[in-house]
Amino acid sequence: MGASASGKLWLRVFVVGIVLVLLAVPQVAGRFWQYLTLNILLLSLFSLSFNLLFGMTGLLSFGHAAFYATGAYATALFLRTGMVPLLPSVIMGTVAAALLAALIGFFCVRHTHVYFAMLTLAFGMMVYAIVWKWTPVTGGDDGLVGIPRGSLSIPGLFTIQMGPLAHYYYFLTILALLGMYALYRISRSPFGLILNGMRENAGRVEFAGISARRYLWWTFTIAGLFAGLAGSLMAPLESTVAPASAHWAKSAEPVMASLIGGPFVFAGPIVGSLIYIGLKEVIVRFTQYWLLIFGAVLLILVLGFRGGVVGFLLRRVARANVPLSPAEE
Amino acid sequence: MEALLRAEGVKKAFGKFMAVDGVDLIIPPGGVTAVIGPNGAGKTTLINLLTGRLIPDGGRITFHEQDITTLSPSERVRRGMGRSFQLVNIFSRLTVHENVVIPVLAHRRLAGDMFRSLDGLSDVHARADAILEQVGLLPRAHLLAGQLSHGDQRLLEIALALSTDPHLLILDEPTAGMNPRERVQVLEQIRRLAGEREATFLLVEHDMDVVFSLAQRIVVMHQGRVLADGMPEAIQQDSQVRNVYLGEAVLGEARTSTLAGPVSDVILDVRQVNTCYGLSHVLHDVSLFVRRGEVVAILGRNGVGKTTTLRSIMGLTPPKGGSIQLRGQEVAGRPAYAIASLGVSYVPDDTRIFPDLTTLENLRLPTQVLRRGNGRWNIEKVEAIFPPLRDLKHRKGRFLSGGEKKMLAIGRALMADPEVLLLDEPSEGLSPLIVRMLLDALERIRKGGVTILLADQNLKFAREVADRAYILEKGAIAYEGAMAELWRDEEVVKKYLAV
Repeated sequence: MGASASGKLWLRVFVVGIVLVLLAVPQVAGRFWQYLTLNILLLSLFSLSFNLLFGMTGLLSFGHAAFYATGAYATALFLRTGMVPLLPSVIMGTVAAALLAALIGFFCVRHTHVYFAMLTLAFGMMVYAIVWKWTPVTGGDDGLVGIPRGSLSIPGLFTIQMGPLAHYYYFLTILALLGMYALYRISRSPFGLILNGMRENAGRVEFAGISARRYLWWTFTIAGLFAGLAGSLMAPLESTVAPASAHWAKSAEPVMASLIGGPFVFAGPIVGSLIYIGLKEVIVRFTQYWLLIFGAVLLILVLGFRGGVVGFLLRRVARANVPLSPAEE
Repeated sequence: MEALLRAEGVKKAFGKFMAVDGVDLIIPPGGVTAVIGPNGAGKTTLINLLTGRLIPDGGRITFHEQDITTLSPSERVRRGMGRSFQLVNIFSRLTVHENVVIPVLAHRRLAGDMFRSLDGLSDVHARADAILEQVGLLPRAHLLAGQLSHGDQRLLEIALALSTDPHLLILDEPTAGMNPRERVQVLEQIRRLAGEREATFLLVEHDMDVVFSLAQRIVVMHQGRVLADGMPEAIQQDSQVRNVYLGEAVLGEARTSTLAGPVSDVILDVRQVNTCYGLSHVLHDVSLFVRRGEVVAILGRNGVGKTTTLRSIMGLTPPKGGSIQLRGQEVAGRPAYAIASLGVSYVPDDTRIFPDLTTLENLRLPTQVLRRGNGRWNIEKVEAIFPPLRDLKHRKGRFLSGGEKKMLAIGRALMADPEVLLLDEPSEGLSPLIVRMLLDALERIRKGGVTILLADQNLKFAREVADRAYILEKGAIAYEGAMAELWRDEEVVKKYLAV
């Protein structure tokens, strides 16, 4: 894992370059590209939060959309009151998702492997059912519409209306990047190494004096928090929230993005999100059978690039020790 | 008596089988206590109960005079208990350095820190490096732990246990599968630590030299109970102990090769095999042959390529170049199942017994599921060779002791009716009595018409069973000859095998 000093420098230059490009998008590109970029950022953040459990800790969550949707609905509800400004709404939406993750995680981390996956799927479908049926609050199958973006203000100093897409673009981009940076820091922290240890051998972590279950619970909660942040940022962008955001098909998106990009490299899910959304956009233009083509291409990517696109390239270029899959010896 | 650790009437049953049946044990602070006993006596179960991997069905355990009977392993470790495992239990796909960093972080209460950069914690990395230096693994700190040789993985296992600075260190067969040099290194380490840190040691060990040179006190277990408990001299004199455990001294004469069959009767012919793991080139032009009915040993220190040689022959790690002929038929590069169907069985050092199948089911697998075997071997014959299996018919694999698994693994391999049997470290972790039994068993297996190629650290064991030997050094054949000659050639033994 010890990258050379010049490698680290180039990585920094590369990341700064990408951030600059992201900040320049509204200046040089129209609404379509802004919207596409934001969608990639949202899926990247959502997938990174998922991959905290999957790639780093070795736990496959099939119900991650529950937290995404909780963030989205909670933020939408606060914004629709017209009383709560944008930033507090997003923060409270994120916290709501984290609280739900703490509750669900309490039960899920008691099991591992396929039982964990099934439990998260079951809880995810429960959240979906609540969203679908609790019409007075969630709007039922119509979802919540007409969510205002509100404004960003410090009373007495300044107020920025978030109505124009370009304004909201900066708000979302900066918060999403901060979220990703926080996840990056976690992956490089002592806690991050413990997560890798639990992926390899949870029993041995226990004999290092670390309560595996407690750490998994924390991890689950943090993963839910950042998924909630992604959902919270999505609601004002779309100005609607639909029950589909809680459906298990939504939970599958970060799974695909992580597998495409590579679950064992931090940037894997980001690259996976870029490929996932980019492919979808391109293929939709050519055929109504886009799902068929899309599925075939995903199949090729997952089978052809073992360890994900990023993992594959790193192994090729740097001959780094990037593992292939959690089960491989 | 002042006690660091105290067990009172501790019990644990697996189904109807009482693995630990009312053990009372007091470990005072300081010194080294060894637990010995035949395979299946309940030693590892007792350790699992003391360290929290299992919770007892009855009885009470205290540590530092506080009740810890039902505490989790992590809580016990935080209170100053450390352990190593009989089977290697490490983080295979993390680097050796990272493996040790994990317990160091935990011990320094830094494991939950999400905000600091791990790279910036230089004192943690320095501490981890110091521990690796102590056990001699620092030069390999950057490798993935799974790439280490078996002996090095055992050293890492001990390094992990040391990393939390335990007051009580419980070692489950710390030297199993090590070569003599590593063994001495580890023993020196334990002795030094026992002297300078006032740490207390509890160790399970089969090697009597180790036990008598280290322990101030010996606890003998038999059938889930403490049979004897006392000073080493007293234990050595105890007639009961001699009966159940020590048996007769395991030192016979070297075999004189009774078989000098013609070279034309070569059943397995390996020529200039080269094998790589990823980028590392492990075997260099390894050539060896085995005649029909022979027992041939591959000897050498840890990490020289013994296991890789067996895996290459079996097709589990296909060679990059060279030829492997079985009865004149080229098999290099063919998949393992195809080689198995040609009559080769492989018993890996970790046995790979199916934990959820019973002994009988494990034994029936080759004949009933794979449709191998023509009736030359059946369950009765296997039980005749390994009598202890007779009483374990319906016990699940996970509840078998290390030695019982070994017997079952060899028995299962025989049920596939092999012409050639490949054995990796057959004598590892076996009590002297069981080693004796295994020697007899191998002799009967050979008389049953099976050719045996085995890899072992233990020269004494190989001497009694093998006709010829090859010595590997750095992935190449450094010596070949008759076992009797090798045994007399002190220079060779010293150069390639000894301390």
